[in-house]
Amino acid sequence: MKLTDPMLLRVEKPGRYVGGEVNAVIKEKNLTRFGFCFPDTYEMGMSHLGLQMLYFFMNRRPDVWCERVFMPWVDTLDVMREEGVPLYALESGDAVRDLDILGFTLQYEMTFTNILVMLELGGMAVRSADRLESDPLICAGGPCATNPEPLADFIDFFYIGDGEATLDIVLDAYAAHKKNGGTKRDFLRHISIIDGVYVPAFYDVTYGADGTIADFVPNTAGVPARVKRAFLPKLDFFPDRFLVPLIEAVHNRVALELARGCMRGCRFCQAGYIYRPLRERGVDELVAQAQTLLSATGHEEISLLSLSACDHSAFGTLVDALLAVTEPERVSISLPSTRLDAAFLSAIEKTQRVRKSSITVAPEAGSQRMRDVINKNLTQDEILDGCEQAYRGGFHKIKLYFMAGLPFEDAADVAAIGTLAEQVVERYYTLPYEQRKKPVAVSVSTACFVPKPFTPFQWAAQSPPETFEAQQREVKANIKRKQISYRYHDAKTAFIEGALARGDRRIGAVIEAAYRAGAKFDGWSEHYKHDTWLDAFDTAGVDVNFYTTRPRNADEIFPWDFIDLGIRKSFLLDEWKRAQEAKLSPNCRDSCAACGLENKCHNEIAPVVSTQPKQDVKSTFGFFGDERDLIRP
Amino acid sequence: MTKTRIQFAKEGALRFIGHLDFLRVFGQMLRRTGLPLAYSQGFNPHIQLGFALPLPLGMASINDYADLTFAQPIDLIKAAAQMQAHAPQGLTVRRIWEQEGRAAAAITTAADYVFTGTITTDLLSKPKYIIAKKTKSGIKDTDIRPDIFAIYNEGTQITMKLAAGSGRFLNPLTVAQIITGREVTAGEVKRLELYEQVGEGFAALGGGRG
Repeated sequence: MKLTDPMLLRVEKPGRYVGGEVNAVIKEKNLTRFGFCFPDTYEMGMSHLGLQMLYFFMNRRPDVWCERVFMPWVDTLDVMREEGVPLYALESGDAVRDLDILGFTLQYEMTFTNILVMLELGGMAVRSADRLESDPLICAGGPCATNPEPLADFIDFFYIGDGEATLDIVLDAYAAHKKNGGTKRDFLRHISIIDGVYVPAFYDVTYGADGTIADFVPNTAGVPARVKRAFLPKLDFFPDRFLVPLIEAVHNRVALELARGCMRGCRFCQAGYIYRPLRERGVDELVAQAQTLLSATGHEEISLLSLSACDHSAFGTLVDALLAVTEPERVSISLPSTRLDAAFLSAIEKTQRVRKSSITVAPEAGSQRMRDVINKNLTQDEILDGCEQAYRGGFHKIKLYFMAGLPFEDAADVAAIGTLAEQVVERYYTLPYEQRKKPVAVSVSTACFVPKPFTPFQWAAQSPPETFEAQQREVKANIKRKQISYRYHDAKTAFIEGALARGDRRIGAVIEAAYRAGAKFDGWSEHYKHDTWLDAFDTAGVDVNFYTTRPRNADEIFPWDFIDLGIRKSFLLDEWKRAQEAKLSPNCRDSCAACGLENKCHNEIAPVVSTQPKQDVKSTFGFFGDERDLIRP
Repeated sequence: MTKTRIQFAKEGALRFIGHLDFLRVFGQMLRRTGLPLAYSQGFNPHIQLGFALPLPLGMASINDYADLTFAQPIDLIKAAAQMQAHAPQGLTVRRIWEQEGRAAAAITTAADYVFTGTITTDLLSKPKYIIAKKTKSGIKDTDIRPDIFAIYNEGTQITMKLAAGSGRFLNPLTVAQIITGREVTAGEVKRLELYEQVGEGFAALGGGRG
């Protein structure tokens, strides 16, 4: 049973729950039924490139029907519970319990309670051990699956790595399983040897006296001791259409994946390590994708997605080639946050169709020493010169993004945030009076640093909320000029995010306790309840500080160590030590650091192509809009 | 520049998207056709598309209208077929014709609504009918009788012709509740036709007398 007309008219944005989008796939019901579950709102999920890619990747198979399932918003959740409407897949309207496999995407730790809510709403037990043979198999993938342990109790199997690499083998195995019969356990044993597949039930963890992991071993014959990630050496698949949402999503646009991976090695950035090595798509391929997708969707905007877009080795050529396609069609190109360099400055000049007054820059840290600690490779002069160019290009509002609570940070580094903001303002007044038509406005925002697995900072102690809050007051006190405004992210949410990010299997009981106490939409500030989480830690008998503020020894076994991404732990440790000394490391193109993936790295080590020398660039830098805030409200 | 009017129906899942979303969805459909659309001038050009009258969330519309300008003369029969080929589920493109003069939104004065029910109150026989109506300046007693042009039924199918347009507008759900004595939801009601005033009478925007 789906939501009926009267029920739909009782809720906010009923268009979230009706399906019927352009390019939605309808198939026969006798196929392998896969439910792609996005544990957040429709508008967030429909803006997610991974959903669009995997939906069409799976639906390209004649034997699989992949449908979409989103987390209903709180008003609809109440209606569904009251009226007994089970969670259903949007395409068929069938209850998710009637599907074969449900796959959750793990983009953000604070969506974990939503997964349990969705299982419950689907009419299933939240724990794998309590679910029935007739229930669907529950799997999960995405960046947070690189530490799957906090969800080990709830998920039957994880898929770690590039979906295009071995997902077909898993689906083939499922088709054979469906034909031949057998238990879920039989199927899980079959797939446990496939690269990327991790079945938590087949492994046992023991803990030492200090609470850290003593041993992590298989308990089932034939399963690998370490789980290798699924790896796609060359990006080949891209859909020829996108689902076009009927209601306004966070992003209503065609997204092109310029590259996967990043060559920079910023030490705080998980994406910069787990997607290594950098794998680029070619210009011709990207332009063809843009043309195909624009005519299949009718979108008016293309976004160039990549961890660092202008590091694409043919970025300038690509922008010119795309403009030739988009300009006659009145399509705009948007560039994500990226580095201040000549290629980007030039691109922004060319793609800027509407004059925006505001741009965003991410120095990440206030002092040069901290920027060196995090390996940002960005000097103060580069930041200030870039801002000056922005002012000259007509911008008068600048947003500056920073992180607080970075490892090895001291009071001077925190104070430097305000100082840098003041210098950015002062630069405006170096412009001749006639160029200063509007008042300058600089907005500073600080995020709370959360150490993540598979980064050099995985050894770091996270700051407690009180420290973050004290720093926030300090930054605020240090900002004197009225032209500067200050915003900051919630320290308490970051604290729990940190515990979940580096959690082990014992965190599962905490997530379940929080969910039972009503936690959901924890990534949405209006729904986040810190006390519920602190109580959940108490209920589960788990010390939150063990996972957050505790410094880690160099030889500690981490919960995620059994996952083999190809990156050597010794390389990460070396980077951790270099961070301590504020030593920069070169990017992958300048010099290979032998992170462990050197044999899988097929990129030409070539200098970045820039279309113009830096001094010739007249315009500016940054990106349009506050994208990070949109992704994680 | 070729100014045209499109006659279409909006039903099914599309009933649950609001006016601005529908405008975007309609525009995306037009862009998928590859037809030579006319764009407005300026930094942020947009398709020259306008609807006759917004539709309440949940309500289907059987004969609805939009104005659209093409950059050059084209075969409108083919264009309608191309639009239908790229239309989302629930959108039926019935007809396109050249239409000069005032915009559909400016001329629409009445709409027919149809739903199933039993009439318990004969509104038409009353010379006046005062209700408390929400306006911009708060709640005000308003006589809605002049905005009711016709109400009739064939069995349990009730049809109402009410004032509808940018000038005067009467909420069909309010009238439906008064005449049937029960709450009627938007999902039960279909908007059948839109009219412009011609002399003392009405003419459907798609042609024909009403």
